[in-house]
Amino acid sequence: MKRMFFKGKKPKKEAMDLDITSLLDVLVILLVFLLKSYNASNLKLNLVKDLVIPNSVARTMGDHAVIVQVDKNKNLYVNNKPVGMITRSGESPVLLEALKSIKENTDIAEVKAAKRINLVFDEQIPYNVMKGVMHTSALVGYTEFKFIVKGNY
Amino acid sequence: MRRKIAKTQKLNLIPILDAIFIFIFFLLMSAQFIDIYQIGSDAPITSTTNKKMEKEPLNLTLELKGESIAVKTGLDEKLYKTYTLSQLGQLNEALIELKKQYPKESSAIFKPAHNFQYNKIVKVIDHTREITNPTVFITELDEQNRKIASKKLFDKIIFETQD
Repeated sequence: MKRMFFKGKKPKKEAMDLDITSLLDVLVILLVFLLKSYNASNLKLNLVKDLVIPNSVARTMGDHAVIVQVDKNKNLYVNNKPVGMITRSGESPVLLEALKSIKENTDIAEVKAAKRINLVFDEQIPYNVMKGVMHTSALVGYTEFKFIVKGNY
Repeated sequence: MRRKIAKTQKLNLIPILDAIFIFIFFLLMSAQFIDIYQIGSDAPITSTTNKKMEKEPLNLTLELKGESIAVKTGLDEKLYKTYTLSQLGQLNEALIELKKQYPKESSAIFKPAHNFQYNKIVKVIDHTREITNPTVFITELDEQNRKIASKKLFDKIIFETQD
């Protein structure tokens, strides 16, 4: 009996149709969001912990250069590597050594002659710390200071 | 007579989906979710010149202390006006007036007190570099001496690095 039932017409095999309309909608939304948040700047910045950069109306794109970061506890980072702390007076011999070693330990002429330095300070940092970092950077030859700020105002 | 049912043609979306996926991966890898910008400032350089100046330079100096901003002008740093941090709009208006008097000047010297916070300095810089009112423009001469509308005020910021 059973055999007879299945011996009847076999259902035709049809290719399964996936409805990808909703997937396409999600992809388009994701694409628009990512395109909107795309930044053409060649400066890639990984902010260290305990560092909040201030807001600004400045709209000049950042450029690749040596990055010095100072968090709210006055810890110093050069190219994301911790180098020590800034003294209360704002002086930083460790920064001087770190910046000197960048220029000395390279054969690339561009790096040796570089004047630009990206300074990333926490928004609560007092001016004496800024002054110390700028003064030390200028001593090594980095005389073009670029203060990194947040643009989404 | 039986009518033929017209079959709807389906678009082949696979190549475009491939392209979108690659594009999304590229954008995700290069995404930086905070907009980062820079404010430029050069270390001060001292130089001497024997040239006689036609007009006394503006020598715009902003002294930042506590909550006050003292605007000083001239080589003898004469006090022009004083503002508080809550009067940044008025400071911007005063700087527009100074820019009209000295259209060729573009530098401002900042002298913050040793304990003056960085975020406050950035706010003052924002109000010194350009006109904040979106409807106000000033006339500037371009390289070919043509008049152009501009929002630039004193965009070359110099910090006093030594006491």
